[in-house]
Amino acid sequence: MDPNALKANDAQVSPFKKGRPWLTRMSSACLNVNPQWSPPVQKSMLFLAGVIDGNERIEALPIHAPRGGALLIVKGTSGRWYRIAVTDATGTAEDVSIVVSGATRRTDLTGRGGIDGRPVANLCLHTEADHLPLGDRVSTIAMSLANDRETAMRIPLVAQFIAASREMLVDIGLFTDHGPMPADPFMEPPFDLFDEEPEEEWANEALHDAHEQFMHEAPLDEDEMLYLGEEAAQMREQQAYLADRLACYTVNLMPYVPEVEDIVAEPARPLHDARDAFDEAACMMQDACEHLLLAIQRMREAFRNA
Amino acid sequence: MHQMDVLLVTSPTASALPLNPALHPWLQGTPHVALLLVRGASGRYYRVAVYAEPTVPAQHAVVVDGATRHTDIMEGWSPHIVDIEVCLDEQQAPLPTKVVRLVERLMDDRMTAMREPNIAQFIAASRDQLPHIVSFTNDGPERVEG
Repeated sequence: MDPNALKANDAQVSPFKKGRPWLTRMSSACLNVNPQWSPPVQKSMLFLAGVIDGNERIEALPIHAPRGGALLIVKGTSGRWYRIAVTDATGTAEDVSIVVSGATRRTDLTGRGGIDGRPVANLCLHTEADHLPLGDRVSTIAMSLANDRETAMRIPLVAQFIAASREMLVDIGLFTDHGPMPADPFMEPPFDLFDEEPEEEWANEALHDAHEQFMHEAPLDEDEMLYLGEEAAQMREQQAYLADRLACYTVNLMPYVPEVEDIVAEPARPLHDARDAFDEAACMMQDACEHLLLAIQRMREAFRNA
Repeated sequence: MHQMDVLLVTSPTASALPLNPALHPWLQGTPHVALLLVRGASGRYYRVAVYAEPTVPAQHAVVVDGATRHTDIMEGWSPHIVDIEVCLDEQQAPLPTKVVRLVERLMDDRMTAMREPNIAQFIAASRDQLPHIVSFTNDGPERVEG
């Protein structure tokens, strides 16, 4: 099989990925297929490439794996992020390790370093169909994690991972069938696979915290809306808008923020101006978020007292 | 109890709380002695109903229902409310003490979920999934037949 066949698939991206250059860049072309693998294994990797291109929640990241492998990032329906690291120790696809890790933020999974002290935990997941070729097994895991809320109803450890807060993940190393376990050094994922420096992260912890608070504050429900009237309706709209904006900003990677991208496109303005503008916007967003949260909590209190 | 931010429901509407007849046939018509509303750390709501037979002190039942919204849980019985199987503390303690311990576990539901997978599955489930589930048991979710 022509190993370049996977690269040809790069052109057939999903409509979701077409308008988003950062997703088309991280397409199925990033899969490393070893030409020495047997034809069924290579074919199964083509199937995996199709799954990646056809599913907006699954992306492949570039890695350095001369013996073959893959690094996938999956966003579950619960909003949790998963990383599937596939490495072949021998180059024959017979001794392959598939390590699944999860986190609440994407940046926790794509940074360098081990999982010690990071809010990242491994998930002890394995497919029942071990006889299937590598690509099929990885596709099964990726698709299950993309629909993680439903998977959680069958696999309790996935439910426990979704239920755990970010703070709890720091102390948990592994989710197993027997419950969460402390970190296991032998389950370290192969971080050396990254062949390029990760993109610069704009760490803005305060904004992240604001977002977490937002996610914990339930939206105004129908009863509260009825009682509070038009003001509440406007507030709900604002809350939805802010939550959406915050989700966008908290990704913290410049290409994900269209406004900043537009500023960078202007050749007259240096890059640091764009960064300052982003930081300023982030601060304003955080202030707005805090004010709105306070207002919502006051209205909710008024509703309860009434 | 007030310090724990738990709402003791005393309104007449709430006292006429209907239960899912398919799940608790033996409790139909039995008045409950306490009805508590708990909001867990995950943002989920829990309704703890304590039933006790006044003439037979040892006979009691504690039913825990869960929902994602406050309005759902106050509705009595709706498709968006699910039954949650819980175990009371087995130690020799008066019923109120056991109920308070249960309420504490439900308030810190994220942590409880690490020991009780059915609580984790309830937290992980979306509101849209709940109408298809009758109860979260220790053996996994019990789905609606058909």
